[in-house]
Amino acid sequence: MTSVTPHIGSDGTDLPAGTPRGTTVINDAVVAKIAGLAVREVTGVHAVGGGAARALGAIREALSSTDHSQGVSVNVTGPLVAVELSIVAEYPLPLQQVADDARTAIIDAIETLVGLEVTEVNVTINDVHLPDETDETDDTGEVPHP
Amino acid sequence: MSGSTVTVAPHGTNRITARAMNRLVSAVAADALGLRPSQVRVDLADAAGRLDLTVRTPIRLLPRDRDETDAPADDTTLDRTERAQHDIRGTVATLTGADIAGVTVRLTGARGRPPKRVD
Repeated sequence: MTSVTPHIGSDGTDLPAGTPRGTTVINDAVVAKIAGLAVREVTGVHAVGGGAARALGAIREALSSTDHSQGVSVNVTGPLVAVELSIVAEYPLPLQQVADDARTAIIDAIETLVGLEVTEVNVTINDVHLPDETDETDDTGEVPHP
Repeated sequence: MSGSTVTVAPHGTNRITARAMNRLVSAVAADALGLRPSQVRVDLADAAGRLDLTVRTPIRLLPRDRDETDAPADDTTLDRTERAQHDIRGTVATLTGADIAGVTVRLTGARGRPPKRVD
């Protein structure tokens, strides 16, 4: 999926037929990458992506081919973009605030850098990172101690 | 995802998954009771659209005559648990924005720290 901007260079007025000298095509992957980069800068965002995406991301990072669009999925329809974002928040920051900040960062980045209009950003906080358990692999479905 | 809390924001929704909520509540409870988050079990339940929390945790027993005390001397285990229960409710509501119906704290055991010996 790509988004096509036919009126590039126009100042809001319709150009006479034949005037545009080409089209600008912005691939969805670009939009997702820009959103992914923007959200990493947000305070309280510890990581981007769900469990599997982050595990894969760690391997990619080791191979120095980080996927910046990890955890971000975009849906471009004409000049409108809808974004689905999945993050791990930092404890003890207010989750709603972190989610709202992430949304604002994505909207700003896409609207200024790409020039598309963002209709919605749905943020899923899939985990919370606790500072003192650095990478304790504990699962939610574990058996309680006797 | 099932069991997640969803809030509607101006441009989209904020969803907190059950896993994230679980971890946050165990961290808050652990802070309130002076334990490690991994020692706390959390159950989330729906109470007519509101969030009902059950926290299962051991309690850390404090020596009666400790010097470094910051709590009142006549502080019973029940008092401390009640205070922790209030703290959990307040902090979880602030951090998640969830509408909390109730917090149940179940003490599942007692952990004592043997007094340090000088020898």
